[in-house]
Amino acid sequence: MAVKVLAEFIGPVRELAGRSYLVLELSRRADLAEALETLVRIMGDERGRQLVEMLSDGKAFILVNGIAPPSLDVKLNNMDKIYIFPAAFGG
Amino acid sequence: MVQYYGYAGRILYVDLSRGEAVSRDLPADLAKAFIGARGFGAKLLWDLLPRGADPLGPDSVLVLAVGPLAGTAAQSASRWFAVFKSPLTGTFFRSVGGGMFGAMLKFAGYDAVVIRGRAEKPTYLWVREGRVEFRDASRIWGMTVDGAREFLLEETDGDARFVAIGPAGERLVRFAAIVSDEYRTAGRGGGGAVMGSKNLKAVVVHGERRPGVFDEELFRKAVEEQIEGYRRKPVLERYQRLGTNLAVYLYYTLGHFPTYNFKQLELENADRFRPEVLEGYVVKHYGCYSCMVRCGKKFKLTRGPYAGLVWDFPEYETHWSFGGNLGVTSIEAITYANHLADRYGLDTISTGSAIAFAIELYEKGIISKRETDGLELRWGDPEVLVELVRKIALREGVGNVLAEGVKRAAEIIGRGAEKYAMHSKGLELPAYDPRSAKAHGLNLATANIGASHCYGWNRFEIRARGKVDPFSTEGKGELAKLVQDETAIFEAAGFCVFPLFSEMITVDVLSKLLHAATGIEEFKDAKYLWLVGERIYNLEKAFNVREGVGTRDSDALPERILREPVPRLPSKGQVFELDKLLDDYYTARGWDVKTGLPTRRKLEELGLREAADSLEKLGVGLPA
Repeated sequence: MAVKVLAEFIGPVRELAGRSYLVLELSRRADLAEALETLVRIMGDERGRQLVEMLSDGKAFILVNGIAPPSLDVKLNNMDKIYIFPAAFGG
Repeated sequence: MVQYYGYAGRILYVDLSRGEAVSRDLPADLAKAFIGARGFGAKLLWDLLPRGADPLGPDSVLVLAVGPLAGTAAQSASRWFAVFKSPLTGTFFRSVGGGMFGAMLKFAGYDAVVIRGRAEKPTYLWVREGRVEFRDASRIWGMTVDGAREFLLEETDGDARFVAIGPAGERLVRFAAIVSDEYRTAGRGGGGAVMGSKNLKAVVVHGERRPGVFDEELFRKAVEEQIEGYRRKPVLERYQRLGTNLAVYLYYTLGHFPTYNFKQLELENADRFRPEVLEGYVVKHYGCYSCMVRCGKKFKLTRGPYAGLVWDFPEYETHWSFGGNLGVTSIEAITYANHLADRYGLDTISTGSAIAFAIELYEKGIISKRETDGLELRWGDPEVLVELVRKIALREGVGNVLAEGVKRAAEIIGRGAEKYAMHSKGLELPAYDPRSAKAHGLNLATANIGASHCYGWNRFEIRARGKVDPFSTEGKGELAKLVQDETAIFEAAGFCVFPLFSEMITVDVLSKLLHAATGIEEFKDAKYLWLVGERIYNLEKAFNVREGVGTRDSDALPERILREPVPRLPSKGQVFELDKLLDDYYTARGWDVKTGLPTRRKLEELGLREAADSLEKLGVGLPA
C-alpha cells in the first residue's frame, strides 16, 4: 500500500510552491529523500531547483512531524506531516 | 582620573528623597571585572541594596545602565538595562530595553544611573551633560506613556530620549514595565512598579558626547567582521522582514509555543500565525540605535473593531501570551491589546499569563462571575483579553488581584488555584514549554530572575537543526550553564541577545569589539570574558541567596510541567524531569547539588571572595 504524507509550505516556500499544502503519494518503504524527489518533480524543474537550493543554502529547512530529521534517510509513515519552513528565529 | 574609551566614565547617583544627584568617576576595577550594563547592575545592586529591602520601599535601588559599546558603531550593542530587586519575584532582576535611550544616556555622559529613595511628589529626572533636574511630574502623573511623551519632550528637548511608566507602574502592578519613547520596553519583572513606588514618572536624557574608541582602525575592522558575520546568515534577511514574528508558527510546530495555559491542546486556526499572514500587517520597519537587523515592525489594522490602529507589532512572545495561550487567534485583538499594554506600561508576558490563569480558574469553577466583575471568562474570546488588560493595568475589580502576578494571586484566591499558576520564582513562564526542550526548560527553572526565556535561550535545542535532541535529559546541565554564562557576557557588553541566539556573532568577535573600543587588555581574551560571564551569574545567585530565594527549592516549575504529559506532537508524552536535570545543572555549575547553593570554592575561583565572606557574616553557611 502506498504511503500518503502531507507536505506544508510556509512563508517564501509557500510562494515558491504556489500553495500551502500538498498530499504526496509515496512507495510503501518511502523515506524523506523520496518525498523530496517527488515534491521536486511535482513542482517542475525550475521551482524544484530553487527549493533544493533554498534547502542547501540554509534558507529553508524541513521538519517531520515537528522534529528536525537527522538525515534524508528517515522513514515516513502514512499520515506523516512534512513542513518546509524558511530560515527563522525568534525570541 | 582614568582616561576611558568606550565608556562615558561617570556614574550618576540620584537620591529622590533628598533631591540630590551626584556624579562620580567610574571605578576602573568595576569596568574591568564586570564590563558594563548587566554586570554593572549586578555589582551595584549587590553593594547598595540593603538585605531584605522592600522592592517597593524607599530603600530599593534601581540601576539604569549601558555597556561600553553603547553609542558606538558596534551593531546591536546600545541596549539599556534596568536592574533592581523585583517586586514580583523578590530576586535579583534585570530587564532590557532597546530603541535610542541607551545610546543617549551615554551621550549625556553616563554609563549608569543609580536611583534611590522616594520623591515626595510625582517627579521626572531631566539629565543633560553635567546637569540633573528634578522636575515636577504632577501634570503627567496618570497619563499613558504616549500621553506623557508629548509633555516630556516639550518641557525638555524635542531630541531627548526617555524611559517612563504608565498608569500600571503608578498603581504598582507587580509586572509593570519601563517603556522607552519608542515602546522598546524593559517589560519583565516589575521595574515599572519600582519606578512608581519612587514617584518617578520618567528619566529623560539628552547629550552630544560621543564616546571615543581606543583604537579606531582595530575597532573599524572588528565592526566590519561583525557586520560580515550578520550578513552570512540567511536568517538576517528574513528577520529584517518580519522580526520575531517569523518564529510564531514554527515554534508552535516545534512544540515550544504553549496553548491554553500550558495545557498544550491543538490550537484551532493556528495557521493565522503563519509568517505570510503576519507579514500582511507590516507597514513599517525600524531598528534600535546602530543595529542593521531592524527587527522592529509597525502593524496596521484594516478590519474589525480596531481598524485604523497603527502600532508597534506584537512580538513572538505577545502573539503567544495574548494569543495562543488564551486560545485567541485574532491578530487584530492581539495587536490592540499589545498597544494597550504599551500605553499602560505592562509586561505582555505576565499580563497574558495572568489572564490565562484566570480563564482556567473560571473554567474549573474555582472562581465565578461574582469574582470576575460579571465577566464570562472563556478561552478564545478577544473581548475578555482586551477588558482584562485594562482592568489589570488600572487594578480594577478582578484586575486588582491579577495585578499581583499569578503566584500571589493564587495565594489570595486559594482553593487549589496554585495548580494553574504557571511561574517560576513568581515570574510567569514565557512562550516556551519546558517539556519540549529540556536545557531551555532548565534555564527557565534556574534563571536568577525566574522564568525568563532571554536569560539562557538555548539555541542548541531551539534552532531546529537537529544537533541536540530537545527531549533528552543527557548533558543538559552543561548546555544550560553554557548559554546562561554566554548571555551574561553579551549583556554585560550591553548587547541585544538576538544576534547571539541566531549565531550571527560569537564571543571571539565580541572580544575584538570590546578590546578595540575600551583598550582594556583583559577583554582581548575570550576566556576572560567567559570568566566574567560566570562571575556575573554567580554574583546574581549570591544576591538571591542573601535574599533567601537562592536555594534548590526556589528552582521550581509548576506541577503541570512536572506531571502532565504534553498531549500534542512533537512533544507528545513529555514531562519535565526536574530533579534529575537540577542535579546535572548544579554539578555543571560547581554548586552544591543537595542545597543548590554556590560553594565558597566556586565564588572564590570567580573572584567573589568578598561576596562569600559577606554571606557567611550574615549567617548563610556556604558549602565548601
